[in-house]
Amino acid sequence: MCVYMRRAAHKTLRLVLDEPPPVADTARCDGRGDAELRRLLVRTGVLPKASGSAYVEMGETKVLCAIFGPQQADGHDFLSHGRLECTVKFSAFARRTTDPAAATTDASATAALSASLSAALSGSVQLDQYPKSLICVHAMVLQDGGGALPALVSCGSAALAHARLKLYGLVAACGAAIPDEGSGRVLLDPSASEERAASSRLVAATVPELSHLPLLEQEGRAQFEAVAAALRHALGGAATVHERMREALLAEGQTASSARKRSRGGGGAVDAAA
Amino acid sequence: MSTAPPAGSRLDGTLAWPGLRLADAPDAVCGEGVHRWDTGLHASIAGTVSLDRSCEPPRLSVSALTAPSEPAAAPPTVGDIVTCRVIRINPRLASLEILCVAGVPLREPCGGLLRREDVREFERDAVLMRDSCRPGDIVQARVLSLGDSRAYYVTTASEELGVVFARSAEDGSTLLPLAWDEMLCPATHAREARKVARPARPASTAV
Repeated sequence: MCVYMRRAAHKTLRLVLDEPPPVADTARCDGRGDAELRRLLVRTGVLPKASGSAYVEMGETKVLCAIFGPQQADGHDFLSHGRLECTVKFSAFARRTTDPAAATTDASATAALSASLSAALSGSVQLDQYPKSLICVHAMVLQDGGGALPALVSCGSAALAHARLKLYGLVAACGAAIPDEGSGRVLLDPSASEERAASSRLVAATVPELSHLPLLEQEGRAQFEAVAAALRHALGGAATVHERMREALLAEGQTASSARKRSRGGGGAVDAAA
Repeated sequence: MSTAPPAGSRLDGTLAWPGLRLADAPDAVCGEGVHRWDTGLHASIAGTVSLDRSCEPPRLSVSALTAPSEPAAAPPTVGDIVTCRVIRINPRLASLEILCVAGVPLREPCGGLLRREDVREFERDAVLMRDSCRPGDIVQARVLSLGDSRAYYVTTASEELGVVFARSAEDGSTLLPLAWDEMLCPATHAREARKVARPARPASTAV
């Protein structure tokens, strides 16, 4: 679902979002604050054979994404713009249980995740620069510790940028959970157990420079003010994820260029990486 | 790193990521790696910003930080010189497989089409495809148009374009270029008709 914030709705939401957050009742199981992200790791260039690749860890959730393309799209009508095809898969060891019944739920879950990922990413690529081409995004959830969709969106966008594809911006995503319908408390970046216990879950993806909201998914029951607060938390979390994505993209180039300078310099003292 | 754009005079050499606003639209022109969004110029890729002040208004471009570990060509655009292999021919056209774009190999070959009227510049209706190229030949061509969903349309109507490598029909040895329309088999001395590309002249040595 793509949501573009129109001016009137934007103003109303602004009024709601300026309210202060509710006071926390109980501590989270991993000791984090309500508005604290899990341990976040973003790396690009992990798969040299792919056109672009990225690896994202958010807490215990580990996601890997590879980009192949742009390549010729076979069997379709001539298109003056490119196509983005997203495929999400779960590894065999992604979940704690090896319950065979989980395989069937995984099939519908992967289809839904692929559709959401496609909705979040396709607006960020300048597809008119790639006529007749197909860009394949292959994402794999290596371990699902909660918040797989936000990690997939951030990982996919970082991989697209690493593939040197022309983008309108980097898409960063973050999730939030509302544990109790009545309290209005919001937990940022929920773990798997917090997601299961929550009465409502929200995932928001954003391109901060353009104030875009390519993906906004909310399910469950919650008060409107709590949903607005959850959206505000998620957008703040997404801004932090966006910062890490930028650092990872630019750091890879800086270490490569400093390695080239060192090899050209010959037998000089090796200085520590910046 | 803040999301505020660096000041205009200090733009050159700074790092940019996709979506970063570099300048206002009237102040500069989009170069490679920069696109226009609303009233501003934003970077399209992650890399180093360069500001070319030699033209008026100055041209902003972003170049990628590192070369890819396995360089693969972008899909061909109109005007690119492509290296193709002939797959099959019929009296009207030759089906090609485009292998390289401007000398850089494609990750996966894409389809190309050489029509009879695009083989050479003169007497375009009198062309015999069988005497222009044969299946298995390697051909240097230029992209004419994006064509249809299956193939790009290419042309060899130029002296530098045409067959660059072919094997003899009799014994499979490599044919040598003889003239613009003939190749010679070194073993049997048989001549075979092709639309031959002019071989590149060797670099002249200063006397």
